[in-house]
Amino acid sequence: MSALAFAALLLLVQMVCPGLETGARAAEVDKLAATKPGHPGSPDAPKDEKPVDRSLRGHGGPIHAIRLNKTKTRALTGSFDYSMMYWDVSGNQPKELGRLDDHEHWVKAVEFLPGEKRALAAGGAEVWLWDLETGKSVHVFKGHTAEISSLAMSSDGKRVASASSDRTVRLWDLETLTPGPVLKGHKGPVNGVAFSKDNTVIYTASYDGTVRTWASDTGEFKRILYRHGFGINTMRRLPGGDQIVFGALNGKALVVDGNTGERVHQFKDIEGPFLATAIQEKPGLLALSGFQKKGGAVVGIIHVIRLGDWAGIEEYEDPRGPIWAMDFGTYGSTIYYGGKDDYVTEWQVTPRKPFETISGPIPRRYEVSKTAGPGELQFARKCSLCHTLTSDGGNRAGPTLYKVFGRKVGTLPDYPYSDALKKADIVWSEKTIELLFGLGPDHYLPGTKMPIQKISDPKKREALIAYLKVATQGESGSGASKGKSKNETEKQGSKEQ
Amino acid sequence: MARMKFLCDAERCIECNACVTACKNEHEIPWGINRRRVVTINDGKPGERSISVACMHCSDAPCMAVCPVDCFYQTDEGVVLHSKDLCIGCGYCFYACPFGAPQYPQVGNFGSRGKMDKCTFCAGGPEADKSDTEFKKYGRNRLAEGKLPLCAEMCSTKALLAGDGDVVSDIYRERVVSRGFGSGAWGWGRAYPGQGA
Repeated sequence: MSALAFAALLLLVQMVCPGLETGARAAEVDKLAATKPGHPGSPDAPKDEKPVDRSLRGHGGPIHAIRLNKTKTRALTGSFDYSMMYWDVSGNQPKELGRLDDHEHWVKAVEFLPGEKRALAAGGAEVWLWDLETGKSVHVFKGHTAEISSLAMSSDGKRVASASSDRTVRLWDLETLTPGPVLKGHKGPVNGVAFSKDNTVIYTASYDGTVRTWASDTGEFKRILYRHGFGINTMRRLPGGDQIVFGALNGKALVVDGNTGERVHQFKDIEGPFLATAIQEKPGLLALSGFQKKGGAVVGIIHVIRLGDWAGIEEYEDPRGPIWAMDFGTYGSTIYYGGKDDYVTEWQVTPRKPFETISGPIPRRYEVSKTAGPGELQFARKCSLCHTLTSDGGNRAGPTLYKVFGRKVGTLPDYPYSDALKKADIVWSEKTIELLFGLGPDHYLPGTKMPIQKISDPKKREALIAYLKVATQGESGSGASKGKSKNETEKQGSKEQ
Repeated sequence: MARMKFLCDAERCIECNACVTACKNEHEIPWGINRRRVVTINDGKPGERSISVACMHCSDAPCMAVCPVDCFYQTDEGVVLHSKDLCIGCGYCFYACPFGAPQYPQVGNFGSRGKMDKCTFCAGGPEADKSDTEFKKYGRNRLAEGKLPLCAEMCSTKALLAGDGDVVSDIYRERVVSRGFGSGAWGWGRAYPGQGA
């Protein structure tokens, strides 16, 4: 069955069975999903074979942004590793199509442009326009002074709005590549932005607890649409009209009428905050994610809700922690989501597939054993999020430290250094690494992408340097191969020192 | 060992902001950052109440749960502290804290946030107690000096209480009984679930 025919069938069920109870409705979605080619429940699903790992692996840092195209064949993901990745998710095994890593800060929002040949990535305070076919950046929109948390595209694809921690939203013209109005007035970081259905109004949601409306042509403030009180972490406009949905840090999520500001629906609370939303236009689904405590552990939460009557379809818990980003996969039968780990997981919503039981804590690379030496401890806690010790950089935010002693700053061929490091005339040695952490990267190498990271205790600096001298020498070095992911192993040697 | 808690009695807070000023002065907090602030609800209307808000040092602190580099820790006295050496300024704690405690005093390169700063319950940080380094990074360690947080010590109406959770909740309970009403110890239910004042 073709994708189009399947979508039509789902829509038909929605039209003829609007009053189905949640369970019956979920069963219908289930039944339909099972007819999707390759779906585990479909007639052509592989029999007696190990399930294919459909997670998206390749990033070198936690995931903060996921967006699929309309046909659910391509995906964009953004990460703390300063990159946006581009994926083919149409087949049984997702394929990496590109890694766009020139950004100078974390990528916390991504969007496809109409036609899907271009895409946008919010890298720190900048919006980068990428050509996905050439893998080259086309333009960088500059103007924000603090990190951008979300992007929204007008339905005609001509404008994009960026919401930032600098308390403003900026509009950008994607045809002329020029800046548009700046929306100023929120009293806290702006976390959500959306265009109205006719693109004339901009909705913004902020940490200041308000949803506001603005004229999209002039940027003029119109009104405070809704006062929630607590900070709003995520907001989207629902398809087909001007209702908006938002999730807040007090564990409440609401639908509000975008014209009147009246509360349309309030969803079931969670104990922790809501963090992300995803919308599937057909068959009409909404997902809200966040986290809460359960039995002393922190579990990620996804609630899948049917649009219109707001009935709960599924609830999902992931023991790996908060879910910061997600989007629906084919027909809404799966959800791609990400959090603290370096990969995106695909969860099968229908037929429901619960998370496999995990025994014991989930190891992360910054966690070290009690027997680790002081230098290894310093590396694991302060460096390992962004650097590997192997010949491969592991796609992390910083370059590999493999054989770093004696290397001139900014000279690894495949790593996208900041201009400051390209121009720096420094060779890494015990003395220069000591100065880097003694003074702090922002003072020793002004303009570096490296976060402000000082180690004020000289003994700790000494221990770190002693550890690095051994561990950066290669695979035989102490700890050099520890915690190496499958991805790193496969890519071993792909980058040269 | 005592479990340290804050309690703000909204019936007594007069919005004088002395707690905010005392905190800034004691810890030499840079301009633009307030570890503590006073929030007024229903301003100018019947039922107006003011509340002094800072990090509540929650029992199950959501900031600890979301941190991608695990930079938070909780002391034996229940005070939630963090290491600025480990913090990468990602802002995740900011999205999780219901009290708006995390602050970012410095804008780094390319729009990065810089290191997070928040109320320490006047308990310093992971550096050596009462050291110069600890003071510069986290402010005064009054607990190590045998004192309680200055914001509560300074409060002229004793709306803001800080100290052993059992003691402050007893004081509040006595007040409610004595005056015959109370608008609730704001934030207690969320910060310390199952331990109503």
